[in-house]
Amino acid sequence: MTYYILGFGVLTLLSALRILMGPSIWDRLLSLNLVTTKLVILIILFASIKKLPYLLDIALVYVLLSFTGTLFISVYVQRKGRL
Amino acid sequence: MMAFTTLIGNCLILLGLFFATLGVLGIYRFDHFYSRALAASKVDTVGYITTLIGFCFKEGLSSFTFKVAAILIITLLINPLVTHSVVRSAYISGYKPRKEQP
Repeated sequence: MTYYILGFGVLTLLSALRILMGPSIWDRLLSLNLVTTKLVILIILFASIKKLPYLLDIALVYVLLSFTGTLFISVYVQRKGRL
Repeated sequence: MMAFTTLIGNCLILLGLFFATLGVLGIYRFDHFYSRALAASKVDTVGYITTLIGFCFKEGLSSFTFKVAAILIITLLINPLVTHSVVRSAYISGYKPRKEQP
């Protein structure tokens, strides 16, 4: 089970590296979406190992908050700063 | 029977890890923004679905499985929506990917 945490953690770090070196802002938004999905998988993995089912509520709230965040950032960039 | 479902769950989680690795690899290997969007949306969503179904098999019937299924359904709804929104924002803003140097 700890090998799964290691694998998904390395994938999260690689996706986060793409945020730093992405050429445009839309690349960074796509990588942010990838980091979010990998972090949700890591939260569920931790909850499955430690037998703590209330961590899944945190994962649910995190999914919804990241959705609204990325959506509003992309709409903000599309309208060139005028909301 | 219990060991059999655990084995199926482990195999599905390993398959999901493989698909997620392919998605992250596609982000680095493609050289245009729109092909990177393809790799980031489709392949990574397949890895996500496979991993969460693996967790459902691994835990058996409990409230844990119900919550994981709820997260899976919500993510199936909103993950293509986010990618569509980002790509639409890039297309309307007139972003052209730069020609690749041979």
